[in-house]
Amino acid sequence: MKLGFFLKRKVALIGFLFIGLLLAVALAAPLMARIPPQDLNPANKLSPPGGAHLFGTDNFGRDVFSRVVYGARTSLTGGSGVVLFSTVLGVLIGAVAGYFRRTEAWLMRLVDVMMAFPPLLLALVLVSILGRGMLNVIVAVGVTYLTRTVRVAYALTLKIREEPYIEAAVASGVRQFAIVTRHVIPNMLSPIIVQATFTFAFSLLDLAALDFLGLGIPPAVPSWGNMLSEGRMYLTRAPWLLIFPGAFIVMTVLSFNLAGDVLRDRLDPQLQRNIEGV
Amino acid sequence: MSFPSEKGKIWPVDGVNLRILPGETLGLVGESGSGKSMTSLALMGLLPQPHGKIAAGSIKFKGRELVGLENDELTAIRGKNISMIFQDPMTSLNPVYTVGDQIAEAVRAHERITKAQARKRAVDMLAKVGIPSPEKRADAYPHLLSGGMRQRVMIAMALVLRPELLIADEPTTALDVTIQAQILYLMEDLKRDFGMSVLLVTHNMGLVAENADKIAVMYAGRILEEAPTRELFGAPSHPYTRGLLDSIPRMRGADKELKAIPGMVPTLQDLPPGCKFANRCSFRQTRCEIEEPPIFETWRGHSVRCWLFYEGLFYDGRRSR
Repeated sequence: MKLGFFLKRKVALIGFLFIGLLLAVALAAPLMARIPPQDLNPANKLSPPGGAHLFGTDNFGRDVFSRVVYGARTSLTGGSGVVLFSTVLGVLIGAVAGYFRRTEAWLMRLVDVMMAFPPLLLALVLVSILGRGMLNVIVAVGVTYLTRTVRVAYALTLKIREEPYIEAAVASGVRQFAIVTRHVIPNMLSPIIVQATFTFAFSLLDLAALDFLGLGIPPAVPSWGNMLSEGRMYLTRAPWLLIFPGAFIVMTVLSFNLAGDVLRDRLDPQLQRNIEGV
Repeated sequence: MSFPSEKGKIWPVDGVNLRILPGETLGLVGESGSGKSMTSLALMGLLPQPHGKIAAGSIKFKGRELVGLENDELTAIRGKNISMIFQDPMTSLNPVYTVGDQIAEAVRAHERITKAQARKRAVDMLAKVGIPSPEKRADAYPHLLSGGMRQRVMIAMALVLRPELLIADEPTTALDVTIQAQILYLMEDLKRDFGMSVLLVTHNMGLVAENADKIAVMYAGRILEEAPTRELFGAPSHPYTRGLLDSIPRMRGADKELKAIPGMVPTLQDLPPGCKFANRCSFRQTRCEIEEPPIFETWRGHSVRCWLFYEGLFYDGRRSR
């Protein structure tokens, strides 16, 4: 992809920059945050931003900056986990349902049933069954996004399976399994990647919401959702407890949405011409 | 062969009987919707699913019955013994793989060899179909190649395992005329090299005239006439075949008006009970509209599905070479 294209879209560039920055922060968390995020300091609780504590401290005297930095790790891990889970499984199920028509009725009706649940409610039910913890939360949220990816992959498979190159591959004796994995799936990747960026953005919100409701990551682990949940009692006395994690959630979700928009414009051949005309 | 439709089952191909000998080229000619593509797909077991069915009949390949084979068994034959070239080289190659990969994949689908060996076979085959610097071209993606090049790649992919039968469904229709000639010469050369049989499916009379040993004329799912190429052009017997030949422009007598066949092809939903061509035929008799004619053999290897040839009653003009 040409750099010029991104430069033309400055807003999107900001989105990509922020994602890059966040990634760097998350990777270099121990270097960025001098004060460990778990360190309690009751003598210095609820101190406002500035000085030794850039983002202030919370009701236990823990450094908010450190917790935001480590929270970035949690959020990015969670978001990536959801994307990985829903995309890999979704593409497989969608491609199988679209290509092997005998499985279609069963798989797609199952997906329809799952889509009938409000997403957060479904995630809540799953977490209550599975218990808290990163992996369980990823699965719970991942399942709700799985259905959308399945739908997209299924629709794409229905289109791709009619392409002459699929017929040509069948005619040259390629096995069905290889047709699906080597010919159908690689050709649907662009829209799937776009879908994945949006999944990432929305899943961050859901992950934060689960944390906020006390059903996500255990409270000891710093996450933006947990910080919001704990900070809400001090909304008037120490608004920085909510402002910083809240701002990071908003910025991250926004950045991923912007990035997704650009990727969609770039990867969608139908839109391509319009953009180049602009 | 049957398909369900809103008005009950339709039969795009019915009572078609073809025989291709080793090393022979059979031209299957017909207009759009005559069932020629369906016939070739049926041979490969590639009828559109889930609705297409071979309701009755038999496909024998080297004495082996193909109808009723499991998909796995058909997969083993496809590409190895029977190959196919498709009409549109622009869309028949997977855009996300290099052409070398795609040819190598066809090899590896049938033979247990290493990737490097498969690649070598692919490069050799690209050289054989006349692609310059094949080593380099093997790493090219389809969109980097011209239509003629892509059709050569398709041919390489179809022939890399030296199949005994090649089905070429309108192999040159999407190409411009000079490239068409090149591709046809190439196919002819490879056919001789490999000693394979070819089923050439086309709507182009000129193409089969030059390339086929035998020609079968198809209309509304039936073979109306079948004969060796010289015989067919020298003594076209079925009124439909004559109509087709009369509608081709000629070098001599170019000022004569071209004759078109009046009327339209009947739709598959309501085929007439008698001869399928009766409604457009200028030699129509009452019988034609009631009873479908059987196949009459008028000469050795020349068969016609027309009542005009009933009991050797040849109509005027027959055998006027």
